[in-house]
Amino acid sequence: MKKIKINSSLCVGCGRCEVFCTANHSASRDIYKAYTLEGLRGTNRIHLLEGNDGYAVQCRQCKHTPCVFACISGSMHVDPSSGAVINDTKKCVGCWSCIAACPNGCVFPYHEKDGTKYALKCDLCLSADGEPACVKACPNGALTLVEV
Amino acid sequence: MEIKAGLMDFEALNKMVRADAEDGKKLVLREVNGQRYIGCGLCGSAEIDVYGTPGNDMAAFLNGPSITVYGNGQDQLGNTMNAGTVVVHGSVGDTAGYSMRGGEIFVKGSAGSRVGIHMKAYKEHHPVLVIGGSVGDFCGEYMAGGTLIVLGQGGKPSPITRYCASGIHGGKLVLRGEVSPSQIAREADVLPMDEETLSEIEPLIERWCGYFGGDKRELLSGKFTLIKPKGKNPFARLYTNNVY
Amino acid sequence: MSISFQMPRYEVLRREDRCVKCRVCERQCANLVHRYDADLDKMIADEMQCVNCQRCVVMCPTRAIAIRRYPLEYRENANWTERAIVEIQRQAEGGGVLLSGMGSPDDKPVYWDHMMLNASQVTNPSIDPLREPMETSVMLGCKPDSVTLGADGSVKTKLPPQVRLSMPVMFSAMSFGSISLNAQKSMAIAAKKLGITFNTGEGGLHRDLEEYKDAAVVQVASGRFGVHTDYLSAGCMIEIKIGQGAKPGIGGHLPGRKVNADVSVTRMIPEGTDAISPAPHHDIYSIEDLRQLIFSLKEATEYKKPVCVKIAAVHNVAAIASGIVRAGADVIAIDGFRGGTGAAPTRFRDNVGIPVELALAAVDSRLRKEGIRQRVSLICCGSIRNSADIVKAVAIGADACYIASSALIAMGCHMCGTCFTGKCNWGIATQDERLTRRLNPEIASERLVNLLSAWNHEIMEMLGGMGLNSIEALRGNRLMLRGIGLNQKELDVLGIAHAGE
Repeated sequence: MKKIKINSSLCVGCGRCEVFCTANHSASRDIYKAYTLEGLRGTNRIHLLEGNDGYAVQCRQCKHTPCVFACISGSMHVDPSSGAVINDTKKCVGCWSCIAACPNGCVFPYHEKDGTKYALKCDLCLSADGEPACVKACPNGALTLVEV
Repeated sequence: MEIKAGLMDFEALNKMVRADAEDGKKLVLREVNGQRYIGCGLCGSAEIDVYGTPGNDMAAFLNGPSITVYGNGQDQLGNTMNAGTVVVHGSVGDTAGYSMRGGEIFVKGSAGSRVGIHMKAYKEHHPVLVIGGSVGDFCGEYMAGGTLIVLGQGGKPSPITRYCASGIHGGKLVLRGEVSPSQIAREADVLPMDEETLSEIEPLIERWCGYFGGDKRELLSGKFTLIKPKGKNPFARLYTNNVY
Repeated sequence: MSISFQMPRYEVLRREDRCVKCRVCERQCANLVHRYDADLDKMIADEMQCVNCQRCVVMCPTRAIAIRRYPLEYRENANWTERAIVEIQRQAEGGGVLLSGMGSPDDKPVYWDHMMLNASQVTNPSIDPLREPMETSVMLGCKPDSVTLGADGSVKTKLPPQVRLSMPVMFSAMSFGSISLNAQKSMAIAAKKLGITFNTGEGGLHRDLEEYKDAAVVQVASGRFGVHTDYLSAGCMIEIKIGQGAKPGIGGHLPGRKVNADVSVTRMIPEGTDAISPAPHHDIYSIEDLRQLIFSLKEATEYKKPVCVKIAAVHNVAAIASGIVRAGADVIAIDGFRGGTGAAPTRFRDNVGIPVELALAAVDSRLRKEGIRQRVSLICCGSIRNSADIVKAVAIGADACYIASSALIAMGCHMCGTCFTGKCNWGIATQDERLTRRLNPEIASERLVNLLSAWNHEIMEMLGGMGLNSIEALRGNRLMLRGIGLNQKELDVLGIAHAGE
């Protein structure tokens, strides 16, 4: 089972992880289109802490899955094939219980323009296939994909 | 343990010194005839007595042992010394104590020019250089730390000559005798002796007298001048950043 | 109040059809060029601060940024160039000595580019390094005048201490203080992996690098910072720095504000104090004094390490080198005027010293003529940019080359030349923790290993092409070089014939 690990002494605080995360979860997979045409600014599942020179926050794939237990709709679940914790945004009702339950502050509320709301969290880019975009985009090796 | 140096080559002599020097034990070198680099880079706590005239660079890079010279020393004595004690029952040549970082050198007689250049102190390392007689030009140049004392005995009109403490940015010089500000570089502050420095140098003068004889009270009652740096950046040049 | 005549040197071109206002450029620029303006809802640039380090260009997720020369188009004048004018303006405003970073950018001849290598054809077959073994390793040190063999073929002559390099390249001296610990560590890791050496410079050997000490050349410069018996015995070779190609004849000065806690420990001076390296070493006023320092270092290390003397290439360098050989040095490093630096007065960097190609040729020829060439190994430095420069240097007479700027470029340096500001955006020429973390030694050392492994293969290919299978057979082999576009005097000094001859 894999998770993304951050080595804060190597994080240079650039924010490339946020941009590539956003683009990799877009329909076009193109950064410019994702931000402009698709309006996906703010949908990144990894966040650079403000005013900090080096720390990016993303889901740590906790073994005890507090977010899954808190979920009232069953949208937050453990994906059987990969073992990763994923939120099915179509089922999610936006109650934010998972956000309250998460000990690491890495689940984020998102509101679409038409009012639809759901919780966003890292899905190890399983929906996109391939290596997690943030790991690939990190210029300094601060983000790595590790086996747990 | 005794080694007769005689006309032995310095390389051979120093090899024997390195082999025979034992921590806490005394090693005596007799008939030393200008062999260089004696005690160079030696560590530990051996005691070495040198009879005769050691050559240049004696006690260079010394790191612990004590060396007593019953005779005159030559040039570059105690070059870049780190720890240890050197006592010379005579005079020394030029550039004694160059870049000393620690340890002590006590000289009965006089020294040449460029004495104590770039002495520097670091944490518990505090280099000390005490000359009984007088010194030549450029004494204490670029001094960055440590204590340099010139006692001015031996009948010369002044303990120093010219360009004393040029570029000094740390440490202090204590000069006993007639000193005029024209002999001191403008980067240095020429000050009267103060209580704090007097109490600092008192044990050092006492040790000097212990090695070579002399009246500690008479030495301490002499006319002293204290030389200290004016600032930490003596040769500050104004730079203009260029883009080419 | 008056006005500054200074205009920006560069402008930031931002493609509106690519910029997504992600602010990565804003976060990464230590010179505060980029800024997101909320009122205008766009990224704007204060190009006055831009030094063209290219950090934002590389980091931008959509490659939306390009840096271009600011179109400051003074009236054409071959004599009063823009540079000549701007330098006067800066001094009129600042009143100080002009200070520059990195090596001289002047348009003076690069002799490496005027020498061509031979290739074997017909009469002497070339060698394919993929098929046959090729020796690129080098032993640095004094070689005996003659060798006596025993009856069983073993060498009876006692050999002076040698340093083995797996290839004829070493990392040159860049002190901790002028560059970051991460940069030094990257070179130390790479040197150990490759089987070559790195150089501490005059900043001492940081305790974090102690596991790489066997690959270290420890430098003894005029300030003697960090020089004590442990330091001397740590490295594989000791280097006495007499001069440096970028600023021959003058000393160095690390301002107190750059002496932080770490630098203070390694240099063994109190934090915040200036580190002054006087010129000259005040215990070396003659060649006899140099001999004394060399032997005091040999005595202090029990003759177990070779001693190198590094000099700048100046007039009469051949005579100086001859004196240094007789003073007992085992290795001589000759640093040409193109050599890099973190900070040097502009006028010294551009106007003092001579090209290393000519100096190397002069020194090698003189030592051979005097019959003492075997007593030292020669190291060539002062802008070695690629493997061809190395091969040509060896052909002229060098045993090995030092590289510095090349290594920094491999690690991320983009030659913006503002090292002295301490705001190196690539984490190299700075001690600011927010910037030094950008240089990951694991990644940077891998880049260095890649670069030098590639160069090693290229050297082997070029050797093979010349029909040689060992770097030894190339050393001083001037017949392998031909000059192009050189006058007779230049050919004479280099000791090579013209192409076509």
